[in-house]
Amino acid sequence: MKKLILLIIPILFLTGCNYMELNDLAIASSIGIDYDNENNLYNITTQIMNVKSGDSGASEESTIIYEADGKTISEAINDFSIRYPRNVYLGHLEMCVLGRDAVNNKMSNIFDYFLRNSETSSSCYVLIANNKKAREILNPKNEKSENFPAEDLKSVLIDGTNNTGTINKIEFDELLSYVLQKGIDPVVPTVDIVKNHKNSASSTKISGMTTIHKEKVKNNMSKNASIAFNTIKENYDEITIYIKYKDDYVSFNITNPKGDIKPKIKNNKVSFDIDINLESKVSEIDKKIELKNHKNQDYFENEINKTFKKYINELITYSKDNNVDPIGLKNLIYKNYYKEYKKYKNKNIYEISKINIKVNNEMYVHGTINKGAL
Amino acid sequence: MLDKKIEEIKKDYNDSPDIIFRKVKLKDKEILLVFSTSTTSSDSVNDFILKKLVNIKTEITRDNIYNHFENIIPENVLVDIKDKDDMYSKIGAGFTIVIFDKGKPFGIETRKDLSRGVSEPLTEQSISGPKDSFTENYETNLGLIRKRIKTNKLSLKELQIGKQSKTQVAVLFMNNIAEEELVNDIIKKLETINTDGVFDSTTIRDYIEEVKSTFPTIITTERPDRACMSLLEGKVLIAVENSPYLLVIPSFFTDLFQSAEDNYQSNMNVSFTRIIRYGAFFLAILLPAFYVAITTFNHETIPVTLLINFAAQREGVPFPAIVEALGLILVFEILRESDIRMPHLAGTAISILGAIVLGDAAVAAGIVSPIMVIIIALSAIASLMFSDVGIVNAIRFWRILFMLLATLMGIVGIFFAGILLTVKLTSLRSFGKPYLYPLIPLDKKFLFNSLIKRKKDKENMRMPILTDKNYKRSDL
Repeated sequence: MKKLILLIIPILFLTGCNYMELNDLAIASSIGIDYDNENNLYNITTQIMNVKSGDSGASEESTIIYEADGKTISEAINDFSIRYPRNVYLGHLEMCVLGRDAVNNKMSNIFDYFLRNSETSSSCYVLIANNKKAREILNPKNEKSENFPAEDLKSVLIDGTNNTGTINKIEFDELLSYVLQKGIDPVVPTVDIVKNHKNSASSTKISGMTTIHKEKVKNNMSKNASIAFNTIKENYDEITIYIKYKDDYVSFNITNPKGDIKPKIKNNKVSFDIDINLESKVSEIDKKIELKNHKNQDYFENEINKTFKKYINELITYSKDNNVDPIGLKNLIYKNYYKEYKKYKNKNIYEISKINIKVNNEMYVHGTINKGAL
Repeated sequence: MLDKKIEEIKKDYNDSPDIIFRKVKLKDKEILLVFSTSTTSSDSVNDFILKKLVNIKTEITRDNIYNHFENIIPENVLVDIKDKDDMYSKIGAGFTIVIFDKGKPFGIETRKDLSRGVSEPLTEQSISGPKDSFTENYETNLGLIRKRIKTNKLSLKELQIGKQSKTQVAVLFMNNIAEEELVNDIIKKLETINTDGVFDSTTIRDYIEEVKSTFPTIITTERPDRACMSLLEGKVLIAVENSPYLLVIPSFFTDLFQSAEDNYQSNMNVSFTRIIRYGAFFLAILLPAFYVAITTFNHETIPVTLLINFAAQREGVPFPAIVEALGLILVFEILRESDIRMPHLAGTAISILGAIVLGDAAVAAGIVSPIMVIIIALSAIASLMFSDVGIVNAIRFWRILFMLLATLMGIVGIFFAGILLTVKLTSLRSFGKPYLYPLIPLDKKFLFNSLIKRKKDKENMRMPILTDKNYKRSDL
């Protein structure tokens, strides 16, 4: 009995969690954080997954929006408990939408809140509201197909990353690790509201990618630069690009991207070798083009290589213009030439270094280079 | 003289009408037969005593009659009566006592068959394998074992326990396998039992069990095949008069996971079932506690779609999860108990009532959430996978303990309950043998054997913990 008591007493001091029944929780699926610069106020919006068991036993799902203001995030979130009946639970966040103002002014505070609070999910996807407020993005009146808008946004984000190459997905703790690493700037997808022309309903759309540099959100990348970034980072499964051939377009699927960057410092001159390996597959082609002809194959392989080189150059131009480092060239110097890092720390590395790009793609020939059927 | 003796016995029996005194006149002398109609078969008295007495040609003396019976009685047992107590216990056992004017009385067995016949096992059923089981008849039970192990190495030590009940208790063991120390230890323990009556083997178990625990450290069996296999492993059996269950000593934790069926099915299937049994054990103990812990403390461990599902089902349930769970467990235990006690004819009514009241009405009324019914039902069914009622009750005890700690502290509480369970199990001993053998102390070979059934010729060794001689089965 003594042993038993000795065992049980320490448990009471060891646990940090609170007892909370499931039906007392307001499970938040996404959170939007805006910052009002004039009044120094945070504006927090959460989408609550509202679940009620219906008459037939099936559950009825809908979304409620909780909104609160506060001088700090904690104050705003505490404000929820005065305004709404249930406790907001952030452990299952799927989406975190940050307003531009919030990132530009209070990024470190936001990170701090997420890190200190043990009940906040750190595996939510982070988005930046491009031209609108985060509050507007999370409006449930937007067009949606799933019961919860956050689910909608999440699947768009995942599928878009895998299949288009023009956007990427980043989880909160990934973002954090990029922020903490030296010489690399995190790339975050941006979200917008687009109007549907037919019924004037509006829907959310992942509009592109942007870079955060020194707690400031920069301009969006162009579509081509985004593809270049995702290729180097090996982010996608399969994307489609097209090549102009005479008066027609030929479409190719690009799979298996492999990106490799090697830094070199010699006589105070920095150079980088970007080496890209791809696999391509014909997805759409005019019947007049004979692909079994090796000349044509070589032509297209070459064109694809050129296209990707163009994309990467666009990315380099973007980085140069905005003085950001999305692919982490400085980080490579930090890792490989630690002593030299200080020299380049505050320089625009894309301006001073020589970047050699090599793209190699192999066309997948088995069964796909036949002539068009019609 | 004889009349005086009759008076004396009548007085001792307080004039019980079932004690019959029969004076038989032979030539010029009289002898007295005393027996009880409730334990004696009157046919036997007629056939084996009265009819034979007429044939006596010699002079009527005690010794002559004794010799006569000794020569002609083929099967019945002839015993000398030492004193009055002995005589009464023999009358109770179904003997007819022959009393003379002069000379010691003796008894002739004329027992009535009071027990039911050998029937199919009721608690340890199996699809294949032998279908006989022990009965309340002591001799039949010993016979069922003797007929399976025919060697003279099967030894039997008999004791009488209970000052009033005078119950026969037999200790059975193989004297070329079992440890002498263990046998002596058991006999010594049995001899110390000081009580007026013993009516079942479980009473004996209560007296000799070393540690009080919810887990059974001595298991019972009603299957002669299982009893004989235990004997050959080097275990010791205790058979008790009027009890259809034999005690198997020592018993290990792993024994609870083996069923009689295991010996008669193909190896692969048995191994699969055994692994499922271990899984069911943990499921039965942990599932409700785990559910309570993750829905009240560790919400982050549940995938979001499942969490929404849980939350929807709990919507409108007025009680906290623990009250819901305890209530359902209580209802289940009531159902189980009433199902066991009810005569079979009314049994179906209870199951229908239970299914409707528990499963449907309680959910529809919003008293419990459907998911909780699933959790408790799953855990209850998992616990009923075991044939030994001891482990079912142990699981029930620990399930509630785990749940209470989970309610206090979530997953951390489950860990602590786990520590308690481990401490308890590792400290248990069954007649000096560690209860968790072959896990603790570790014996890899037998640990593997207890989980996976192998070809019989690969399971050639006996557990070294049970025997100090003849380890190899093929040596004997």
